[in-house]
Amino acid sequence: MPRRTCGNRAMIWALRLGLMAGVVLLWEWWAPGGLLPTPGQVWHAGIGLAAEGRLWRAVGDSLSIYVAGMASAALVGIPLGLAMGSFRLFGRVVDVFVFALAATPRVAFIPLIIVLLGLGFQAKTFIVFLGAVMPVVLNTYAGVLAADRDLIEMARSTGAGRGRIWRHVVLPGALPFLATGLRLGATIGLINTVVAELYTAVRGLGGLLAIYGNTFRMAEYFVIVAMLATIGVIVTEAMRAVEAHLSRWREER
Amino acid sequence: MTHIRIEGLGHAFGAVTALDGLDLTVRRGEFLVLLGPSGCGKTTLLRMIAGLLEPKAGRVLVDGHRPEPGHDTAMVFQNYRLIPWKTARQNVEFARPGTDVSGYLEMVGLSRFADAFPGALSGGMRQRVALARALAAEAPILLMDEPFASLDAQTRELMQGELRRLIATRPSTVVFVTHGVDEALALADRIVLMSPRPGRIAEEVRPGPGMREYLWQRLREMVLNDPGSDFYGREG
Repeated sequence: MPRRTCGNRAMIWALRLGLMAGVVLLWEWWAPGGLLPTPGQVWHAGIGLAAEGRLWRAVGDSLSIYVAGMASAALVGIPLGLAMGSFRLFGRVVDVFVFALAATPRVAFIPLIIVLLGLGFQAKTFIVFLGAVMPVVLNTYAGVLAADRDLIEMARSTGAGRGRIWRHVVLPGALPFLATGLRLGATIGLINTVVAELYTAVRGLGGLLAIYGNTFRMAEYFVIVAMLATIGVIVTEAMRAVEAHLSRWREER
Repeated sequence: MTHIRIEGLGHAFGAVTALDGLDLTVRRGEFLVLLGPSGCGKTTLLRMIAGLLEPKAGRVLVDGHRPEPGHDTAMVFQNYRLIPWKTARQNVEFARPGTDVSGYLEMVGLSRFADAFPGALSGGMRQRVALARALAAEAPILLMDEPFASLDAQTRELMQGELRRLIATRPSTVVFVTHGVDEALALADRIVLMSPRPGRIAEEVRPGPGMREYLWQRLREMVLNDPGSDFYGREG
């Protein structure tokens, strides 16, 4: 990795941490007594929840639902998007339904999901899956459709067959799109994890959010919000790193 | 001995006739240049010789059969068409899977840049990689579609010399498309002048004294007689 990029990244992280410190300080100074907890109170509540083990159990519950939902979304979304892009007739027949499903708020399906799958792990995982799968399918589909026609003709000029062209030109060209789809899906998946835990059996971080919110224990409430934000940042940054790795050839002279 | 035979070739894109009743033969080992203004069907003709485009009329025969891309022909494109996520070596290997292509990279003077991605190479270097890829195919016919058009004048001249040197080392038939008169005269054994809309063969000439002025004059006439035509007038 070039030294300049490393330096830029360190500077960006330093600025991010500085901004966060500034917000925390402002919050500490501004927080109206009684209504909002101070950052210090949130910190102490966090230490308490972590020591009891309740926070980690909730994180474990939420992550298991999140990972299962995301893995299902990737396992279904990537092959479906690739098939839709590669087999044009199939893609044209199916895409209107995918677009319709993507445009419908997923919350609308929750009662149906509860009726069919109950209130447990399966239902929660399915809600996460339903949110995450759409960006994965649509971005993978778009990536295959965006395959460079000039490169395909070049590949044909070397005598390459359809399979070889697909492996060496179409699929690698779609990978950055696919990674973007996974990143967007990961963000929506995390939101849907909380939604699933609020609407079905109250468990995990979403469950704690409901409990502390309804009882106005705002210090604990903010601990859960901060934990969700931290998970979101870790997942997004990891996905960005994957995207950057897949696009490393884009560096121009 | 005839290597490529083109008989009554015609093609249209929608309502636009690109080629009409074109007959041409290319001898084995000949360096043929197709010269003409933009839009006269040079690239369309080249793609048909490569077997990449099916003619709507007539036929192209290579040694008496339909051309097979990669086997009978190898092509160098104007805009390089390198696979951006593959290194220079991997791009060359694409034309010849499972083979050590170091020799081809050495031929074009790019051994030191074998592991560089195309994005990190200059225009001239990218075109050398594209040339190495076409050479690696070891096809008897090399088709070149304005390969040096996007290079600066100095690099273009250098690449023309390199191409001549590389062609001399191997028995290849070359069909080279350009709209640069000087480039055509520098490279060709024979120049086929094409007229636009629809693309037809206007004249065949051999490089020689006085030919530069003559070809410029002919091209100028073609452009003036066809307002839709376009000639950049580069000293290519």
